[in-house]
Amino acid sequence: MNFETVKDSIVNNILAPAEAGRFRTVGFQRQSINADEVEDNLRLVQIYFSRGDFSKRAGRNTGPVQHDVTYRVELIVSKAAGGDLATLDNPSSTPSQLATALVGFSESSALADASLDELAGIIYQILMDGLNYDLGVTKYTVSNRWIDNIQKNEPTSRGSLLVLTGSMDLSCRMVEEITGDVGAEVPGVYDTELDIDGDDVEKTGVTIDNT
Amino acid sequence: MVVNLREKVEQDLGVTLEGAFSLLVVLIDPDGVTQSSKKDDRDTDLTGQVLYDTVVEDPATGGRVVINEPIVTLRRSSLIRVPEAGETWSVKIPLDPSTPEVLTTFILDPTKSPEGGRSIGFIRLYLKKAAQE
Repeated sequence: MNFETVKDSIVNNILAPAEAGRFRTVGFQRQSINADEVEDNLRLVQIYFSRGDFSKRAGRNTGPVQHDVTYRVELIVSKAAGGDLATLDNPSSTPSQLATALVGFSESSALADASLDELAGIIYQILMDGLNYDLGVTKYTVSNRWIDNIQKNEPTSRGSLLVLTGSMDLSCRMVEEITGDVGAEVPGVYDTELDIDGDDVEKTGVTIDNT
Repeated sequence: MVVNLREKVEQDLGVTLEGAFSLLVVLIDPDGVTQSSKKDDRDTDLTGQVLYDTVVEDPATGGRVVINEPIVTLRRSSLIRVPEAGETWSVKIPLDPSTPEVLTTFILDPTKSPEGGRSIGFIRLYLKKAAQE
């Protein structure tokens, strides 16, 4: 269905080419992630189909239906504390130099916060770029592309690194075709509600061909 | 004189935290002063309990997860200066118990404050990896 095609396009045609060593992209959810895997510019963008809404239309067994899609974009970063490690490791450093180095160290929570904000900004601009209006698929397949919100979660201490996550919802509208499933053959369906004069057999109707 | 039980427990830290299971620890306080020996015995290296793994409950899934988190537990009475919450210290520990003389620098920062143990005389430090900027 189109929602799958569009998701793959977002991953392969839009986000992956724009990584430039700043982040990584996957098109699914990982069950658990080691903080080391997403440290610094290995920060991860997970994008996956989250929800779809279909307007109810009576009597349609085939043909196009409107699909309001939401893709969840999850952002995961981790950071160590950062500063003048060389001075701390130097056995010749004086107490004054060591104190200066310690004062200058940035907390991992501050660095992770800044990293997530930066990543959220990068991904927002990529997905909302006018050049990406069609999300990398055939023109007019997708409409009403919009990022509804950005959310930042509580920091989690994953050992010696601090992990911070956030998310954004990317919504859009597309059309899906009801084609049925090519599976086991079943007898044709007859719509017996039709009342035709002189039709004693009463097997006149619509046959859905399941091939 | 009968030793109070709390005092006895504190004395036992000399065995439980600084005994055969302990590893070398070197501290650098916010004033840049290095402590590598015990406060009451400057000829003895400062040691403590150094653990590399801990089990936590993952808030996202509720499952229990083993994570690599260096935690150092020290006897307060062996320290010239005791880390306080909000301070930034450098803590050097061996990364591998098979090479206890090779020390790696970690940071104790306000991201995760030290935990008490004041009642029976220890302090627990949660260390953060240090990266060169």
